[in-house]
Amino acid sequence: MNTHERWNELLQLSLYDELMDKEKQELDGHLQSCTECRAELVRLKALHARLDDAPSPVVDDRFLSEARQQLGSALRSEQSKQSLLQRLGDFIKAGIVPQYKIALGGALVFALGMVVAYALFVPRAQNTTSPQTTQQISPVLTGETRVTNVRFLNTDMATGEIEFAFEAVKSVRMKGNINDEQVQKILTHALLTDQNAGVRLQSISAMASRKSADKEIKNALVSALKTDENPGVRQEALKALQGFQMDQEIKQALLFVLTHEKNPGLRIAAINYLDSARVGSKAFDQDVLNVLRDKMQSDDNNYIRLRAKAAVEEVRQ
Amino acid sequence: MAPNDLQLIQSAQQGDVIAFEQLVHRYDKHVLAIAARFGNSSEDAKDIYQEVFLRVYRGLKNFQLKSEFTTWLYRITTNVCLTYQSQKKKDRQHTSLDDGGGHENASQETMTHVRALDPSPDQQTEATEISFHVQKALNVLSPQQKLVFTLRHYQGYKLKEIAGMMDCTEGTVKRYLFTGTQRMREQLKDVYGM
Repeated sequence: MNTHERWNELLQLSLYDELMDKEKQELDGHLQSCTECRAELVRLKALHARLDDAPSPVVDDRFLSEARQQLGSALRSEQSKQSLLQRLGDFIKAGIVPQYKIALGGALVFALGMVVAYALFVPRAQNTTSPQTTQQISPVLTGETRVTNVRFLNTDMATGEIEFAFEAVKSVRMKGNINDEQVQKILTHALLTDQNAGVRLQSISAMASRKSADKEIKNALVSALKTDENPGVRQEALKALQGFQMDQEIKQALLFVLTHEKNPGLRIAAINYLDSARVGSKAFDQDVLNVLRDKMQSDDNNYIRLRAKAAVEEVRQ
Repeated sequence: MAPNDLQLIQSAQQGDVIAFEQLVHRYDKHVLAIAARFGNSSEDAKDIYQEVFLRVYRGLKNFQLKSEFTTWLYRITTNVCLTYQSQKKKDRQHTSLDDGGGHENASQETMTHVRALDPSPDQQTEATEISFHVQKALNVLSPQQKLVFTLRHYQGYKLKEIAGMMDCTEGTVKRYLFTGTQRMREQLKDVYGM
């Protein structure tokens, strides 16, 4: 790599905050004397700003739910394949006695041939599970069961026979304590998957009232803080996380917010939280300092630049 | 208390489908986000997502618990992303050889994907236009460059983490990022003059 290319690489890595201290010093020194590299840095920053303007594809709840449904069908088909193979394997293991090996092998080849022929030539419905009659299905449809995702498989207009698949969703009412494992499981599920932002907010409020620091709840809150599409939910997740002892995961989530969050209010809240958590240990970690220094210079919000500067300078004193 | 990853993995290894589902739901939004940025359409993203978790399901029985589940999961995700385009190309070639109309169908499908990215007259906002050009530029990169670039720039993973996911050195990841950004820049030069 020639010298010019090396400086270019260091310039790019500096924008991603991926330089080691020695490289950073080296680059800073070089930038003071090289106008060409300073101009290149300006151009690279412009490129990054353009790239940041391209919104990421939205992974909303509907999209996630569609992907999960498709995965569910694929997994069911995978399970039925695996169980057939397993049964076949068990049969072979149990049945093999040396003197019958050849006979069994022949029978097996014949059986496999039949299975392949059946799979290739016999027409079948898309759904591999056997259909249930209306009498069998009626107990499932009692009460407040909601029917969704109806798929038509076979329709015979002449006879009026019809075959279809659907999902039956039943409403369940539950009462329990926030420290209960089942309650926590449902709340974290609601926080990460419910389509309604109000439900996600209520889940966070309930989680914030728990008495013990639970890792699963913390993980769900971190995940909501980083990925929830609704800024209000992200804000509440950040507030709820303040009830936890600061650790590496929470710190990384806050740095993620500082680096990627579009909402300035949340970026400010992240700085405040990092700053307040620092009091006990006096100094920021190097990675926090790096991000704050970057924010001091490059954040598009004036207050955030000042707030980051104040936090960094407070540490120096 | 909710079960941790280890408990869920052990239950799933014993055939507990609900435990497997819980494990999937813990991380699948991240996987889908990576797939959505890496793929060219929502269908690509869903295909990648499905393939990742099918591989996890098939491989979970042999998962030794020597490494973190997330490391293994993201390594599978990056492998699926890296092989997805070439696999898709192969599938299309087979379709076109097997079926005379297959090629036409494949072209139509590609066009649908392109249209999904192409800003319609009603959607010609600046952000959509930038997204269109950025996605076009991303598609010029090699799968490795594209993956490293999207994971670092859009998903916010550190280069060290990406190296772990791709099972290669940090130096290699840095090269992919550097060369990938240079190529992106060349592609966007004509549009934005940078």
